[in-house]
Amino acid sequence: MKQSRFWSRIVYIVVVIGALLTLYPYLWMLSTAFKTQPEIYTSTMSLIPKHFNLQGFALAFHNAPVGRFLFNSMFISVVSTLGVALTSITAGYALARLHFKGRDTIFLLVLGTMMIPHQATIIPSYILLNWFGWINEYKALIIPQMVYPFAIFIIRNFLLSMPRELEEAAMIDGCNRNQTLMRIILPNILPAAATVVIFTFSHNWNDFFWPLVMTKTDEMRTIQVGLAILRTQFSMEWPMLMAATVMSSIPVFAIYFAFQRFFVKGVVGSAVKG
Amino acid sequence: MSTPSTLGLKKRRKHHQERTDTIWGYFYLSPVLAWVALFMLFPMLYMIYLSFFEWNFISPVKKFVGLGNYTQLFTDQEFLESVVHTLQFTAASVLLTILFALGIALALNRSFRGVGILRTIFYSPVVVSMIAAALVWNSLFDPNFGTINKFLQLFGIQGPGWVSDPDWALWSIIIMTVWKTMGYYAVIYLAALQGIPESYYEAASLDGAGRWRTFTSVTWPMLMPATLLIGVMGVINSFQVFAQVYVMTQGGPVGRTNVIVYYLYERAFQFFQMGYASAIGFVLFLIIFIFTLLQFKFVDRKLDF
Repeated sequence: MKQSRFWSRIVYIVVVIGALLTLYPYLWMLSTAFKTQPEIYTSTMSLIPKHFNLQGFALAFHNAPVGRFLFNSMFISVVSTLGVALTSITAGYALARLHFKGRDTIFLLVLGTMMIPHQATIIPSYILLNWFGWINEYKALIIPQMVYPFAIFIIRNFLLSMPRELEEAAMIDGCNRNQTLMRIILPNILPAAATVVIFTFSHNWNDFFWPLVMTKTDEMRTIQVGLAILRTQFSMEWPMLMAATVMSSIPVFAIYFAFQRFFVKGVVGSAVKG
Repeated sequence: MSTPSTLGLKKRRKHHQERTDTIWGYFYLSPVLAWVALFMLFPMLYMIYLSFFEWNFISPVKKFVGLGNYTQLFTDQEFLESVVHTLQFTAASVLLTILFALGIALALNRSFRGVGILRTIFYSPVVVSMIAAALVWNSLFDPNFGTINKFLQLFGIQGPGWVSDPDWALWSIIIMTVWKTMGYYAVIYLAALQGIPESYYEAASLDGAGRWRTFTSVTWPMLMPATLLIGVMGVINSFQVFAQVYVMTQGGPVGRTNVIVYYLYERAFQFFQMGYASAIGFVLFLIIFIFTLLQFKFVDRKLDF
């Protein structure tokens, strides 16, 4: 018993040190964002800026249209997420509750698309959007993102684990499928819908490869692409770069801390349950 | 017992239900079907088609080269190197991630004060973007002013140039990726740990098994499905590594971090070798396809179609 308490303590200490190490890069990012450029060259590993100032943030806005990048990211993430909420709830409902020919084939098809990495098919996607004349337009960043198989999956699985009695009662009372969906299903799948919204928003906000290829000019860049460009242009200006990085991370962190339990649910739901 | 007439009624109602279900079903799924056709099936097929041609994107004619692009891949030193680097990255990052994720999950799989905060901290790198993470680690890895080398200096160690050192560049990316992804897999391990019945541990303790013995004969075997799943997911994600490389090393120094997707991106969007890059894309697809099939195999047991 004594020995096991000893080991518990050791494990506890190791875990806390590990957590501090995991946290360190954020603290470094935050502190560097408020440092001055000369301090980078002189200071030690100190996490407390000697001359606390907002120069880095000002420089970030001066060096690149960071405000525009942030707006673009917010706009495309919000619109795509609304689209995904709509397409995943209707599709998830159809796949979980309706009986019709071809349903299981369609489900397998949707599953199958998860096997196609968009890194591999980026060239034909680019050519296709070029035919449409969508390159360097919001359409290229929004419309292909309006369907998210992972989201369909979450909604479908959630519905399969939900009792059907309420819906059946509604149908007997004369509701059609759409009325049942709006009045009975929607209020009851809010936890799953929240998971979908949070995951989709973060996924779109953090996406890099697609917007990198599909946009050409500064005014269409998202914040992730903007950060990468800033990095190549100002390789040593860490306070400015960290200030921009801090701003880019605020929305996802805010969502994470507000809705943490949905994140964990989403990971477990996608990985363990399928 | 149904009389024949009510049976007929039921049948008719069921038939009617199926017909309206078909209409609603295809209505609800129409955006998804259009999306699959346009942004998944078409690109897939067009990529295969393009891989048999030589095309610079601008020219109106595509030159048919048969399997030429594929045979060229096998003699293209840069491509072969990118495959080797991707394999090195995958092996190291997946193994290290499994190790750390398991350690975190085992340590946090009990209730004590602060466990919630610790879970929040370990999961948090998953939330930020790969670009943000890469930038922060870039500054930590800075050879002269970065924290890591300054820390090593405390012990009198002259740290390497990390991202600018040919021997350490790939390791820099691996270390950063492990930090970024371990929390995600730790959550999967935690869920799997909570699924192990308490009675197994009781039995082990009755048999006089110590901590290590309990781990090797109860915990680890029970975690096998989770480990396989994590391994396959990790491999799939690692083969697509790009953002870290783009920000941290741009494939350098001297091509030491040139990975498959980075090479594809360069060929397609800097040299406009669309056909050749499509062939690379198809090879990448095949590799990931095989691993995804494996993943579905592991997940299958818990899925009900």
